Amino acid sequence: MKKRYFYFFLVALLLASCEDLVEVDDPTNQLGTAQVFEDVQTANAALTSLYVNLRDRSVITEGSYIGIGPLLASYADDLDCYHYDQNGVVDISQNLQQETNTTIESIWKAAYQQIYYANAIIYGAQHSTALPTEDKNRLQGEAILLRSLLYYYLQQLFGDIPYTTSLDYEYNRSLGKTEASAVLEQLVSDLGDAIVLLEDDYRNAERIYPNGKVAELLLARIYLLQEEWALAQQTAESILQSPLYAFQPDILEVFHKSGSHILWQLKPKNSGDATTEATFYYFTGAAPHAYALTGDLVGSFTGDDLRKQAWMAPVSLNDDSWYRPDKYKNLAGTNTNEYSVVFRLEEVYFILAEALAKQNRLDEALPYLNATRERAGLDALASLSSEDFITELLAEKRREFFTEFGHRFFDLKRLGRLDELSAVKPNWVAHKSVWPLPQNELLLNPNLNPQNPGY
Amino acid sequence: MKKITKTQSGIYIVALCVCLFLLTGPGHPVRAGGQPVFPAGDSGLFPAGFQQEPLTITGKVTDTSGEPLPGVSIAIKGTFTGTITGADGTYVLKNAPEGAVLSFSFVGFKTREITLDGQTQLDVQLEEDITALSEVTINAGYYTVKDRERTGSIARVRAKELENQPVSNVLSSVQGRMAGVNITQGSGVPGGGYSIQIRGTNSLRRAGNYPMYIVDGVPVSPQTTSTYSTGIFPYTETNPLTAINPNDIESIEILKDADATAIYGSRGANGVILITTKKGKAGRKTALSINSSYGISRVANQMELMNTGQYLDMRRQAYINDGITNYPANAYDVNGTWDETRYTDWQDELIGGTATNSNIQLSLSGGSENTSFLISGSHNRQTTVFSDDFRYKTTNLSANLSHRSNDKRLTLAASGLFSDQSNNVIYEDITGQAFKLSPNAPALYNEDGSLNWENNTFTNPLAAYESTYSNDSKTFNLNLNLSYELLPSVFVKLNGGTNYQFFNEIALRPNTMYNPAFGITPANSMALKSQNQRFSYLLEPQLNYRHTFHNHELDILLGGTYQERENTGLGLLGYGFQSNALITNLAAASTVSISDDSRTEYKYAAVFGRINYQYKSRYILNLTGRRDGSSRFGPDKRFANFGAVGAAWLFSEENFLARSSWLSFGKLRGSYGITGSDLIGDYQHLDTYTVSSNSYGGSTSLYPSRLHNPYFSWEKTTKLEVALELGFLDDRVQVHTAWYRNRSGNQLVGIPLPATTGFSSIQANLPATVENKGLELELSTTPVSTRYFRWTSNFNISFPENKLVEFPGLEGSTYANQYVVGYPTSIVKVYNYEGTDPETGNYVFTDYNNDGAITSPDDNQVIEEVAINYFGGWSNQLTYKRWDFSFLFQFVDQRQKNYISSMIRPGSMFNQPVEVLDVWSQDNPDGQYMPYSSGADAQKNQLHGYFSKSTASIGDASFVRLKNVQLSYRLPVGSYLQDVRFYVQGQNLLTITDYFGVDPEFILTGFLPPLKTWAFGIQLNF
Repeated sequence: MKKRYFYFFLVALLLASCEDLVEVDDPTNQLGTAQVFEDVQTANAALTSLYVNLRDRSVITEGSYIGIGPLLASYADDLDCYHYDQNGVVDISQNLQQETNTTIESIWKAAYQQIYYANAIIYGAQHSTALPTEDKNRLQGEAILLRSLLYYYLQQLFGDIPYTTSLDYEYNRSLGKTEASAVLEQLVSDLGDAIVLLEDDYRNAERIYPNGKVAELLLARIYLLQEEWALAQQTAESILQSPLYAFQPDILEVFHKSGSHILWQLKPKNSGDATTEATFYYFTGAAPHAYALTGDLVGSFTGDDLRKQAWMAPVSLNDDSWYRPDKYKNLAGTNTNEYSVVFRLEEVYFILAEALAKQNRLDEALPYLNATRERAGLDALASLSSEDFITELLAEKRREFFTEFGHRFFDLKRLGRLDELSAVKPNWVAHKSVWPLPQNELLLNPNLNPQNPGY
Repeated sequence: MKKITKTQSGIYIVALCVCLFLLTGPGHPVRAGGQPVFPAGDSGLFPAGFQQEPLTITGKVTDTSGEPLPGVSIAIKGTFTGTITGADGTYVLKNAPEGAVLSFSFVGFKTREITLDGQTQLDVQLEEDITALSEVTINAGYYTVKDRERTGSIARVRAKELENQPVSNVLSSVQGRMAGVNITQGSGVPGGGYSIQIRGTNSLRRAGNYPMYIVDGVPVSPQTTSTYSTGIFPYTETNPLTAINPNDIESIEILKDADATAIYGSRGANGVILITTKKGKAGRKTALSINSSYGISRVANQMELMNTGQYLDMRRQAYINDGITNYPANAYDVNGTWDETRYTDWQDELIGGTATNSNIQLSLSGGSENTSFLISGSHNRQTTVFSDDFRYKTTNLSANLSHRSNDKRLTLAASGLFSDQSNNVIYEDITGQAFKLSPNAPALYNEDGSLNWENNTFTNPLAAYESTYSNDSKTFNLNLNLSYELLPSVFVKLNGGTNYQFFNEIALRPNTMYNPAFGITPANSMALKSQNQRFSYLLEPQLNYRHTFHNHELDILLGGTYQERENTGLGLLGYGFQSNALITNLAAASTVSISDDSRTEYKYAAVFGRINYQYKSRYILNLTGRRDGSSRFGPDKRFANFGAVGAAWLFSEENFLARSSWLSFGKLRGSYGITGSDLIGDYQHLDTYTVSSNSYGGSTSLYPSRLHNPYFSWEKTTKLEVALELGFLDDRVQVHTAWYRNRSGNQLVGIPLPATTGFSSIQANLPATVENKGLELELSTTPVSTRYFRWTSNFNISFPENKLVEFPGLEGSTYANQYVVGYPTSIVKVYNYEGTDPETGNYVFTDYNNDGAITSPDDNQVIEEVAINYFGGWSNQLTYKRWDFSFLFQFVDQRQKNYISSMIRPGSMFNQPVEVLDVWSQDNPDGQYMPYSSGADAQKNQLHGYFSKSTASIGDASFVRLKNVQLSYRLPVGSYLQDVRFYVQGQNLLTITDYFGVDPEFILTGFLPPLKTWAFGIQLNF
C-alpha cells in the first residue's frame, strides 16, 4: 500500500522530466528566418535594417565618426580636426593611422556586418517560395547594389579586400583577400545584375530608395577606376538621358530633398530630425570642437563663388575665425526640407567630363565641367589642355563636393595626384593611399595577411 | 511532440502535487483546523516507565559568565515533553517524572543532561561549545547536514560576522572570509555588481562564471538585464543580493565541490551561494530590535598626479620633441587659451566628495513553542562621492513564519521578502576624467553658477551630471517549505516559491550635457526608458527517508524541480522635447519609439536524488545525482545527467584515536562528480531575425539575430576534491585543508570570428578544457577563552591555479593569440619592454623574429599571467565582558594590468601620474619613459601603443587590506529596554600595496573604485 505512493511519486517525477516541460514559446521579438522571406512586409523589414544601418552607423553615415565624409576630408586637405580626445579620428586627420586604429576597425566591422545583412537578404529572397517575382527582384537588386557600394568603399580604402557572397561562417572566417582589380571586376558584374533586377521608377517618390540608375552611377565610377573611359561615358549618358533627372540650377536647392537632380538620399528617422551632417559640423560663437574647413579649401574659392556664401558659414571668436561646412542647415526640430543626399546628378557631369577628357574629347567635356561653375556664378572656362583640364576638374570637383563621401581623396587617388597632399600634410607618404587592415582582424583571420605595405 | 503551453504545464505540476498530498493523506487525515488526527494506538510515542508522581521544576539557565540564556530548550529525554527558557533565562517545567533525565541544549553551547533527583529548583550553567562542531548544522540546499558528517566542501559565514557592516550588499562583508571564494566589487557606486569566483573561472565566457544564487530555497537570477547602465556599472552588472538587507541574513553557505553542487546539476558548476534569512526562534519572548547607523565614505586611494608646472613642462617639451614651434589651435593648455597658473586637483574636485550612508532597521520576533515569526523592515540611503544629488535608496521588508504541529510531524516555514531599490546616478562615470584632465583646465562653474565651457575650449566634466541614469527595482520573493512525516522515517516535502522582479530604468540625455556651441537644443534631448518584469516560480516536491538501525544510518532524498521564468521587456525612446522640464515624461516627446518589446521564457525541469549512508557514524558515503532539462538548448540537446560521489572517514572515532588527548577531531573526505552550466541566455539556438524599432522611411526593421548553431550543448565540469579536517585540543585549534581539481570541458562560448562573417562570434562548444586546481587552508583557533575574555581567530588562504589543459586546433583558431595550452586562461601576450634606447630615448622592445620591426603576433611573445597566486583573510574576534572587537585583513598576491595599460601617450593633452616624470633625457639616460610627444610623431605613437601592451603594463598588484574593523559595547539597561549596543565600523580602512594604479583590488579603469567607510550605530533591544 505504502509502496504504491512511492512508485506514483517516482513515475510522476519521471513524467515531469518529459521533453514537453522544457518546451518554450518563441520569443515575441524574434521571427524565424524562413518566415521572414515568406511575406513581402517582413522581407521588406529585413531590407529596412540595411538602410537603417547605412543611415546610422556606416561608412556612408556622413555626420559620424565612422563616416568617410569627415574622415577623408580631414585625411586629405578639406577639414582640420580639432579633437584632442578621439584618438582614432585625430590620427586619421594627421595621416598617422596605425593598424590598431579603433575608427578604422569600426568602419571595417560595420561594413562587413552590413554586407552579411545584404547577403542574407539576397539568399532569403532567392530561396523564398512565397514572394512574387517582382519583389524578389527588387529585394535582390537593392541588396546587391548596397553591397556593391560597401565593397566599393572598402576596396578604395583598403586596397585588396576579402569579398564574399556567402552566409557560411566557416567559409567566411578564413577568407583571403581578393586583388583590387578582381574586386572591381566582380562589382561590375554585380552591378550589371542589379541594373537588370532594379526598375528605374522609384518605389518611393522621395527617392529614399535607390533605383537602377543609382547602380549605373556606381558602375560609371568603377569604369573610371578601370580606365574604361568609353563605358564610363556611355553609362553616365544613360543616366543623363533619363527623364527622371534634371540639372538643379539653383545653388540653394542642391541639398533640399525635392530636387530632381537627386538620385538617392537617406531620410532621417523621424520627421523633423536633422540630417547627421547638419548636427555634426555645427558650432557657433566658439572655437571648433570637431572639424572646421581648412584655409586651403576656403582659399580655393574666389570671392564671388556663390558656394562660399551658401555652403560654408564663418564663425569667429575674439580674433580667430573659422569656417564650418554648411551644406545642410536645419538643426533638430526645424528640419522639413533636407535629407542626406548620397548621389546627385552633378557627379554624373563630372564623370562625363573626366571620361570624355580622357578620350581627348576636351571640347565635348568642357560643358560638363562648366555646369557647376556657372551655377556658382563663375565664368565658364574656355578650352584647356588635357593636363590643365584634369587640374581644373579636380579643383572644381573639390569646391562642389567638399566634405561629401571622400570625393576629394578618391579623385586625387584615381587621378594619381595624392602626392600633392604632402604640401599641406606633413606626415603624408605614398603608402598611405590605402589604410591598414585592422590588426584584430588579421589576428582572427591570418589569411588576410600580409598587412598593407608600410603598416 | 505535442506542445504544452505554459499554463497547462503549470497546472499539470500543481495537480501532481495536490494528488500527492491527497494520496498520502489517508494514512493520517488532516482536519480543517490543521491539527492532525491520530488513530488510536498511535500515542505510543511516550515510552512507558514514568508512572511516578510528576514534579514541577523551576530554575534559571546561564552561561559561564552568569548572563541569562533565553531560548534554551529543556527536554525530558525520551519524550517530546519540554519547555524553553524565557528572556531572563528562567523556566518552568511541569509534569517531570522523578528520575527523568533533563537535557538542556542551546545552539553554540554544550548540551547538559541532568538526572532529576527530587529537586524542584534546578539552576544550570551551560558551557559554551567552542566549536560546537557536532551540533552545527550546515545548509546544503536540499538538505542539511551536521558539519562533522558532511562529505562535501561548504564554506559558511554566519550572522555574527556580517552584522552591522556599513555595506548594502552582503558580498562586501564576505570578502576575505572564505577559502576559495574570491569576490571583487565592481564599482564604488552603490548598487553595482560583484565578480564572484568560486574556485576560479571555469568558463571562457564571463557570464558563464556566475554562481547560482538561492535565497531560502528559491533560485534568483544572477543578474538583472540592464540596458542603460553601461557607463556606470562595469559590464552593466548588478547583483541580486542587494535586494536583501545584510542584517536579515542568518547565514551564507557556499557550495564548492562536486559532492555539494552536483545535486544542482546543470547550474552547480560555478558553485552555489545559499542565503538563509533569519527566522524567529521558537519559545522566545516577543522582542523588538531597532538598529540605526550612519556612515561616511570616501575614495580609498588616490594617485599622485603631476601639478601644473610639471604638466606644462611635459607638454612644452612634447612640442619641442616633435619639432613644433607654433602650438596648434586646440592645444588650449599651452597656447595661451587657458590660464597657465591655474591648478586644480581634479581627483579632489570630481571624486573627492564624501558619500553618506544612513540605515535604520526594525525587527520584531517571537514565538510560542510551535510557532515563531520574525518581521523586519529596513531603510537605507546612500549618496555618492560625485555629488549629494545622486542617491541610492533601498527599503526591504521581510516576514518569516515557522510552525510545527504539536506532534512535530508537520513543519512549515514561509517567508516573504520585499525590496524596493531606487538608484539615481550619473549616466557615465567621470572617475577616468579625474586622472586625465589637464591640471590647468578651467574652472567648472562660471560666476553665475552655470557650467563653464571656456568659450567651447573645455569639455566640462560636470556636464556629465546633466545626464543621469536611474533605476528602480522592486523584488518580491515568496517561499514555502512544507515537510510532513508521512510514516515514521518518511517525510514528504514541498519546496516552492515565486520570484517577481520589476526593473525600471530611465536614462536622460538632455541637450544641456553638450556644449551650447554645438547648437543642440531640447529638440535633441532624449529620454530612454526600459521596463523589465521577471516572474518565475519553482516547485520542488521531495520525498525523504531517514532510518537508523544498529550502526547504520540511511538518508535518502528523491525530488523533482520544475521552474518556469518569464521575462517581459519594454523599451521606449523619447526624442525631442519642447523643454527639458518635461524630459521625464515621454508623452511630451516629439517622437516616441519602442526600442524593445519582448517576452521570453525559460523552462527548466529536473529530477534529483541523494543517498547518504553512514556506518558507525564514522564511515560516510554520499551519492547525489540529477537529470536536467533546459529550454536553452536545441531540441536534441536539452537533457543531461549530472552526479557525484562523496565519502568521509571520521578517523578520530576509531578506537586507536578515540582517547587521544590532543586530537579531538579528524576527518578525511573526498568527492568526485560532474556538474554543468546552462548560463548562455535564452533562445540562442534559434535561427531568427529580431524586430527593431529603428525604422527607415516609416518601415520597421528586422535584423539577423545571430549566426545559427542549434547543436551546442551543456558545458560540463568534473570536480575532484580531497580534504582533511583536524581538530586539536578540544577543537580549540582546527585545521581544514582541501585540495581540489575542477576540469571544465565542452566549453560553451561565443567563439570570436572575424567581421567578414557578419558577426563577432558564434555560440558553440569548444573542445577546450580548462582546469582549476588549488589548495585551501583554513585555520580556526581560540587562543584565549576565559570567563571574561575570549579571542577567536580565523585564517584562510587559497592557492588557485588556472590552466588551459587542452585545446585541439588552438593554433588555427581565432583564439590562437589569446590562449596558450599549459597556461592560465587569463594570460596576455605582450611585447618585451627592454628599456629606453640610450641614443634616442625611444622604447626598445625585443624583436623576436628579427625582422627589424615590432609586429604582432610575432613579437608580442611574452606570456604574462594576469592572475592571483594566493589570497585569503585573517579575522579576529575579541570579546571582553561587554566589549566586542573584531578586525579582518584581506590579502591577495597577484599580477594585474597596471596604469600603463590604459595610459594615454605622455605629452598629449592629458595629465599623467608623477611616475611619468622619469623620462629619458641626456641627463637621465635610465629614464623609464621615452621623450614626450604631442601625438604628431608617428613613430612615438606606435611605440607608445606597444608600450601599453608590453611587459611594462603588467605589474605586481598584491595588497593587504584592512577590510573591516568593528568595536561594539553592549550596555544592559533594564527589563523593558533590555540592552543598548553601540558600535563603530570601518571598511577598507588601510591598504598596503606597491601597485601602480588607482586600486589594486579594482583594476577596471574609468569606474569608481570601492570606498573607505566609517560608520557608527546604535542597536536597541527591547
